[in-house]
Amino acid sequence: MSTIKLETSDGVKFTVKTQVAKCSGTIRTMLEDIGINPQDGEAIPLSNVHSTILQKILVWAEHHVDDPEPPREDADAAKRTDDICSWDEDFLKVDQRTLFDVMLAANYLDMKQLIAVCCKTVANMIKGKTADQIRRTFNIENDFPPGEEDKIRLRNQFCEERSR
Amino acid sequence: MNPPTAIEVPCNGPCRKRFHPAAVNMDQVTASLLLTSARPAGLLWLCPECHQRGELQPRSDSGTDLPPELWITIFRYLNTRSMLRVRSTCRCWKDIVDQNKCLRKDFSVGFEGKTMDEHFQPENLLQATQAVLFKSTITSVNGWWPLFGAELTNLHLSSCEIALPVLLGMLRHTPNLTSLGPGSINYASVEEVEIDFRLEKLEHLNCDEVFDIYERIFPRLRKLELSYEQEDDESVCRLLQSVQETLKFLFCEITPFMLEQMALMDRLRLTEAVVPIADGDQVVQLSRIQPTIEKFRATASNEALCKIARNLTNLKEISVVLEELENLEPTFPAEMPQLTLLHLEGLEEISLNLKHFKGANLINLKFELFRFTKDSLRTCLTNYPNLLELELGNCSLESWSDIFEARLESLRRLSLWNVKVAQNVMNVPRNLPCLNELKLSLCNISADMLVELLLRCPRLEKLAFNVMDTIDNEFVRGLGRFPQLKQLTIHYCAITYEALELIVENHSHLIVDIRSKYIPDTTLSMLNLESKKLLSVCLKRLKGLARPWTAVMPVKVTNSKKLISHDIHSNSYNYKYSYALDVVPISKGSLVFLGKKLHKTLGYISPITKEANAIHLIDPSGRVPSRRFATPSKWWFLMDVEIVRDNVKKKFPHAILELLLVKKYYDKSLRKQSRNWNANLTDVGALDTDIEADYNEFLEEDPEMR
Repeated sequence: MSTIKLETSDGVKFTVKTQVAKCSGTIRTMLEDIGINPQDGEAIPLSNVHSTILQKILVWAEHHVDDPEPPREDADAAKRTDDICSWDEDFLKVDQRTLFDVMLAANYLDMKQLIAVCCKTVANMIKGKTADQIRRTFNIENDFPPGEEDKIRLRNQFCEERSR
Repeated sequence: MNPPTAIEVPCNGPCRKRFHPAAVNMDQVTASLLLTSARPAGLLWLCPECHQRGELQPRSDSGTDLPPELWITIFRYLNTRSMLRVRSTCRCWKDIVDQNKCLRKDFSVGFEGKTMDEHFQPENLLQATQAVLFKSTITSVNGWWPLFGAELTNLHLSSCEIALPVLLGMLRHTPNLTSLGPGSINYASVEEVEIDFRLEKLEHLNCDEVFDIYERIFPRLRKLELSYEQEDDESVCRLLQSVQETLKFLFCEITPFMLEQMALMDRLRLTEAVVPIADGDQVVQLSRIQPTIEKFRATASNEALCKIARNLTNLKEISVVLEELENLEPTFPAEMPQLTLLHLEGLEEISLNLKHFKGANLINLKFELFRFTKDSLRTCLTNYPNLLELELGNCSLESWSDIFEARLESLRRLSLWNVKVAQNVMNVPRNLPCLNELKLSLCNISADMLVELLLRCPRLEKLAFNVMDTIDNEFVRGLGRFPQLKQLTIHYCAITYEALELIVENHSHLIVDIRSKYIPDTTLSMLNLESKKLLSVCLKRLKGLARPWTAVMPVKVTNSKKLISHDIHSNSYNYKYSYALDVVPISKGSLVFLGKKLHKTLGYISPITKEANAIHLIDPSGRVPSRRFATPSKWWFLMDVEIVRDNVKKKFPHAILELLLVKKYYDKSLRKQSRNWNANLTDVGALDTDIEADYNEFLEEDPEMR
């Protein structure tokens, strides 16, 4: 089985099965369209990804390498967040920083499935929380001028009642 | 490949500026390393702007540092409520939500009872895509409407007063509208004005009155609903004429004139038609001129339906009110073998023979207001082998075997409401291997039969009972036999508080919704609920809980929740909920509310009495109350009275219904401060240590006062 080499931002080199690496849309495009030849022994530089994160992503890719292509999602369909498989759930039981780094890397590597799972996880972290709780969860500063938040909330309240 | 993004070093001092690493004497590699890794920083530098000594911080864990496109993907998974919360979290997220149409598509804004004239200016208007105007008077919307209307997709007006030119003026600014519903409008004027716009995207129009001008504004209607009898069927026809190429759904009363006109519209191809009231002949005629109809709803006779069946070869779904009042043997289903949905309703309970009902395609069947002759329903169900959903309402059967002995191999949903049987018997039912949802309302099925039936539904997940006399505590006790259940709904059945407790203890995996007149509000007090699913039941009750008490004494209802565990990834919280009712100690002469039983044993003294001294309570077990203050289902209720044991001024508890009465008396006038009453959540496990002291402390927190 053919392998390719990947080099992360901190200079660590990974040897990866081509099939696993092709989970990433970015690498697939590089190999297929641009025609980088992996046999050269040249490592593909991934300058936005740190080695700890790439390692984690490769574990995920290894596990999901044989997954069938997901059906094209209808943009209007009600999106579910409770359909994360238990392996992924355990995989993403990491601290928030790592979760975000995985997301950023997955975004950069163009791994749609991984992004979707991460987004669902983050959406679950938002669901059912008040604005204040959300701020605490994500360490966000309330940058509204005093008074404005109340106004927004007032309008929201009205909207929430309607949409119930 | 993207070039590496430029690294900037943020200053944590007052200037908050960001600098290129070179500007602070640092090389790019070091900066990027320090900023991206999670290692603690140790590099000091001086900010050239505010001269603050800076320590390079690893990237802060602020939630907003994902790129907006990722946040948009995340927010797409949220419902409207959470989205609104997100919107009020911070400026950055507010902008993300406000700038993306796909995130705002479910936002709806309502105006009720407003007078909209040229001075009306809504504050902080949420840029919604749906708007409802209710009971408002609209004379001018010039100021704010153009900006707001530009994004609207749904607009509904109800019971409003508006002049037609003003309405048209509003529509001029809503180019994205797809659904419009001007209902029960009082038109101040119907003067038609010149218009210079068209709503190309509008697909759905639901209105009472059709104006000639509509045909010029709405060129691409797909769905037309006309709520009331149209006085002016000529303008309706003109509208139909103009939209005949796109119109697929029509809800309208049909007049002979309209039929004549529609016959001439050679490009009109309806797929769905609803004719609320019409002459049988007209319905048949409609089916003749519109043979493409797939879904049809009307009132008709069997004879007319047979003709319709021959006209509509593509018919998939039909809902009919049968006109006949005589004994009936409908033959039309035999002529519609391709049907997937059949809803049949009688005008009054007529006898129905279902000999001709058969078809392999039917998946949804519903009967309302019929009497079935012996065995006919069973034969009919056997003739529909692929049935997924079955509903019977207001029907009469010979016995339950009529339904449950039929071969319902593929049935997923079964709903029976107000189904009466001549003989209340059920032979051993057949298995219902696929049944997922069972709903029984107002049916007289005995508990034994029901158990027998449920044992044969291996895949039953949702079970609902509504007004069923046979569902009682006994039945709830036996729920353990059906481990397949996931959701249980019991509304207005004879189950009591004990049953609820039982469910909390044994079936916490169930999603339960219980409403019962037998669970009085007053008993749902201190439930220690491990299961948050039951919370909604209790919260609904909590309001009612305080009512009888607040009427007679100062009372405070407290609920507290204690976080047992939290899974940050699935965002599931596991709380322990406690509810408590604080009752201020009653002094002599206070009003006392007595429970029914006590009131009876005391010789029917008034249940609300001022004569507290008349009540002498003896504890049957002779025990002093332990720390079990917060045990489930018990309220402790403090009453004054007399000294019983040397220095402990209290008498004994006595159980009244769910209440325990403790008599005690302290002279309140000696107290300096008012007491801070708290719901006392205590550990039920640790009981025996120093009961006496604890109890005293509970009675009076100030030791000097004891």
